[in-house]
Amino acid sequence: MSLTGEPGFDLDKLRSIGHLKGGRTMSRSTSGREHPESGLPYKTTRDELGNDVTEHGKAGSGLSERQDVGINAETVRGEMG
Amino acid sequence: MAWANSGLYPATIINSLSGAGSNLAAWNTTTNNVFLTSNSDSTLYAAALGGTGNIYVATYEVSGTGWAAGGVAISAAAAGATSLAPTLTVTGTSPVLLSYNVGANLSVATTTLTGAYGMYFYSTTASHLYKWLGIYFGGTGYSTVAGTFAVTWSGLVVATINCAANT
Repeated sequence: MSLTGEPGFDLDKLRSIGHLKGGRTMSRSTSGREHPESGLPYKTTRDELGNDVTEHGKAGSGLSERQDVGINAETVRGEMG
Repeated sequence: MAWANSGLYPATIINSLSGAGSNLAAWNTTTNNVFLTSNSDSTLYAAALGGTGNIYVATYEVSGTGWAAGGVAISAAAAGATSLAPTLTVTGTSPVLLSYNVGANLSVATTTLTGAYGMYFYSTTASHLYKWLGIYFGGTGYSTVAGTFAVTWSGLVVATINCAANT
């Protein structure tokens, strides 16, 4: 039983007007095959920092046969004015 | 110590502005390199020219298959071992920005690397291995396995210096 008296009540909904299901920094994954029929499976995870890690595997096996990284970098900003 | 932010190296910028002859770290020279380091590294952006933190050292470098110690030449750091094609431009009127741009994003294939937290641009002029720019990846150590290590910049703009603020 929660403080609200309702089992499983999400307290985050009380704390903020803009409630984000799963949290603001939740990683997101997409997966598929590099070719619809014969390609290798892959899974891309965009982490909470906005960077991508892509695992590639042999068909029918676990992933991580190969792993790519894609950093999405912010422009570095200096000031003189 | 650890990576905490991206930044520019003012001592290297002063060197570039003050006409120090052949030792200048020209930002658009494609024989310069980029290299990676672990989170044991300290960026030390305020370091003096040639001092600890201002120059390339291998102590905390991340290298491996497909990414040699000393880093990758800017001339070969884009897809297909082509150049990042860096340029320096002036953009805008309010603000006025000095922009350090690339013609292509970084993409180095078939690498195996472990725990890269950030990346530097630095001059490969012998005895003057000055860093001018650090790129922080955000606080996670990134690893590749026989894969592509890529860095994508929004609008292909790596860095800007605001030379005249909004009016």
